[in-house]
Amino acid sequence: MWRYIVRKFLAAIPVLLGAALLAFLILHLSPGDPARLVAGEGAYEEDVQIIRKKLGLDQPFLVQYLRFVGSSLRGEFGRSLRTGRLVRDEVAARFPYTFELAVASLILSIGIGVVAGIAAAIRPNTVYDYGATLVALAGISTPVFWLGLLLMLLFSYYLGWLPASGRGGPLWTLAGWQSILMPAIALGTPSAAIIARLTRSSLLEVLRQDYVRTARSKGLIERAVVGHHALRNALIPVITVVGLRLGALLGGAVITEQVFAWPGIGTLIVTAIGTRDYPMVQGTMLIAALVFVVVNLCVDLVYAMVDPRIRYE
Amino acid sequence: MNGSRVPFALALALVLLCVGVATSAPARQEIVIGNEADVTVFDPIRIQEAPTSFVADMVYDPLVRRSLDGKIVPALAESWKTSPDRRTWTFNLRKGVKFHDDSEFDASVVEWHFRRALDPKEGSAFRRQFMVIESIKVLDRHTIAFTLTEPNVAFLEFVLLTNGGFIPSRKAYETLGEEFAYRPIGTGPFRWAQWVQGQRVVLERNPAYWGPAPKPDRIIIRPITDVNTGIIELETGGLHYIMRGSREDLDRLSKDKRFVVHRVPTYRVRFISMNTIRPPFDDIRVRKAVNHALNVPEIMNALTSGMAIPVDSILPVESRFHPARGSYTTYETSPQKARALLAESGWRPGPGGIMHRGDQPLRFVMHSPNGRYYMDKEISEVICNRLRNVGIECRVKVMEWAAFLAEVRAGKYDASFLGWNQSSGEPSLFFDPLVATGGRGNYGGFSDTALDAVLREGLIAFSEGRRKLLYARATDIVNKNAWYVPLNNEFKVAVTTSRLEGYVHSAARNDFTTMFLK
Repeated sequence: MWRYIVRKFLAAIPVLLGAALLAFLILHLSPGDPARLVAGEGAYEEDVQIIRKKLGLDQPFLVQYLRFVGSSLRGEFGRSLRTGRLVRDEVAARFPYTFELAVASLILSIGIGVVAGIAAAIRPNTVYDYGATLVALAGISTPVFWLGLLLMLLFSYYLGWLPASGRGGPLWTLAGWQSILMPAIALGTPSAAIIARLTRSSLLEVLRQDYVRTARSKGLIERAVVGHHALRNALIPVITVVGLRLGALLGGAVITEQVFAWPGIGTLIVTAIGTRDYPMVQGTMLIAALVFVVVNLCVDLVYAMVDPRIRYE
Repeated sequence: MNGSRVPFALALALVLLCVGVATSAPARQEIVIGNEADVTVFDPIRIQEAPTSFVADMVYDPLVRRSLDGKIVPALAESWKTSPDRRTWTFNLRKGVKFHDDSEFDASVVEWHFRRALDPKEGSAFRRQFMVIESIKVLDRHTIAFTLTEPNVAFLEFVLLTNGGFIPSRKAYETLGEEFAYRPIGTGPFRWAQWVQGQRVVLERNPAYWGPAPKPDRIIIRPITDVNTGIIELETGGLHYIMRGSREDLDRLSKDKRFVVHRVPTYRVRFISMNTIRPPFDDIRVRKAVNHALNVPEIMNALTSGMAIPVDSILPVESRFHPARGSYTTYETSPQKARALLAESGWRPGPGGIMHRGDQPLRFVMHSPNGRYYMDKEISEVICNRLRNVGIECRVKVMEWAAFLAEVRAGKYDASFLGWNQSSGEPSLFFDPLVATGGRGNYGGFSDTALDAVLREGLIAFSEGRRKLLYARATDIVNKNAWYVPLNNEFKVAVTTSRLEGYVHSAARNDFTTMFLK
């Protein structure tokens, strides 16, 4: 097991170095002069030079890259041009909000997705199955920003039940719950749809297995057959998807956060890109990659614990 | 397991969670404003973005302010005068003013602030601009004098009315350390109460404000980057004031009695710049032909109605120095005149209806950003289309903003859709950069010695009447050279709930001290 863990950790290092290089290259591959963009369209040449120096853009490429890596290794990830704060601190201030939204949307999507998937699988080719499949298809196909606006119209504009946007407070308060519901639904819907389809197909597959037939033939009630024997095995691929989703969501749900004015990393990235805050874009990208890698590593480890075959591969 | 019961239970839980708990209405005189982005940094010499500047303006005071009608009026300076050689500006400061941290406002703070803004170590964004200041002298506790490197009538606009002109507390600078940049302490009508990054800034009324007492008890500023979300928030009562909206939404809300839509032309000029260094626009007759070929008001009315106003010069119509629309030399819409000018320049109708000189067709590329300015790409496309009527072939080159700016600034363009934004209608802020020889926004190689002389005088002529004449002459020279096709001034927009009273919408400034909820 330990060898497996060490191997996985070592494999993560080149991934992160690659992400760092990619994030860094964005600054150099994007058209235009970053210093001039930061200074503004009507800036004096002298101001542009000052900014170029401040950004370190007057240094050779390699020096700039090493500085960025050095800053990242120190855990600072550079300093925002707009706010002058360390990227680490900016991200740290926003990450909890992204985390709570990611977790809330995943809980919702797992709850809805698994239930709908089971409903479809245990009654294949019935109205339940077709209904669930149709809803899942709609869920995958609906753009998040549009769904977000529809939810706002329904729950805020017409019904007046929920605040349209923003974070109302901590999750243990009513205002906190009210404010996270719509973004969590909007963000969780595509995942719920994927999970529903995956649960359905996986469960159908398992229900055809011999051991399920054995379970049925020994007289177990259907609920025990599905819930106890079939579902456990059917959910293994679902766990993979959930792990991947969580990793991606923790990097910031850009559109959802933007639509619902959610103060997470997604909003931070969009604002940074919009205002050409290059160190912020670089740093946030690298941190998002780091989080993704760490979450996936955790998922791999959980997998290895659950399924011994994996660690002996 | 009965799967059908579970979704029902979930839906029921959701409904129970929400029912009867409508969003709570804000307390009386707590006004919630939607900002287009979160605020960033409040050290005045580093404030460069509108969303932050807009909040800073409520917390800090400058020495002088703009009134709602664009005049310059006293703020922390009660009065000021200039020396006979017009180089020294002396300000009599308001007495008994205190910062929000209870420290005293006096001439030493003003001196400290401007010296800091000029110190290269402090990273001031305004240093280059403030270098017109040669020396600063405290004459007594409440009198301070600035001596300039040369006479400059626009000194107040150029220095004191920038974000760098906000006066912060020196005590805060000395005691707060790095937090100074994130916890503004000024003398303004509102005090800093809370900032939750990405969520809200809360300002409270300053009970010791030197001016008329502000009416709102609290102002909450929420960053809402998505335009549609801002509209829904306004309609559902989450916001009382927003600064953006699509044309369709603004039209819809203007018919709704629950809201008031405010629009005023602002100091944001849009125009087509023709590069005089490269053919075909190195020939003034071709530039004039383009001006004659286009019916700008018609195009603007079709594409930007309700969001911008057609203009006839590079000076915004809201500027006090703009006499009236139609008072400058402009080009009557006349395809015949356009064709005649092209013929005079040696262009003859050729294949495909395009003018040719020998084998050379009359064609150019129009650079355009996409979405940087209101309807920029669309306007560029329509203009190109219209120019075909007089035999000019034009292709729009839509570029990503960074790449666009790099090419245009390097003069690598034939013609380009461009804009110039300022926070005031002071004419030198438009003319000097855009058309003076070597001006920092003069990308098309425009140069006219007579114009340069007029602009030089414009900076030293202290009589407003004289300045009006000078800038009218400058506009005429610019228009006669046909360097630009002036297009429009974009509107400054705000939508407020009709419960909000006392708000006056102005291009010159935002004043939130007078508004209240009825």
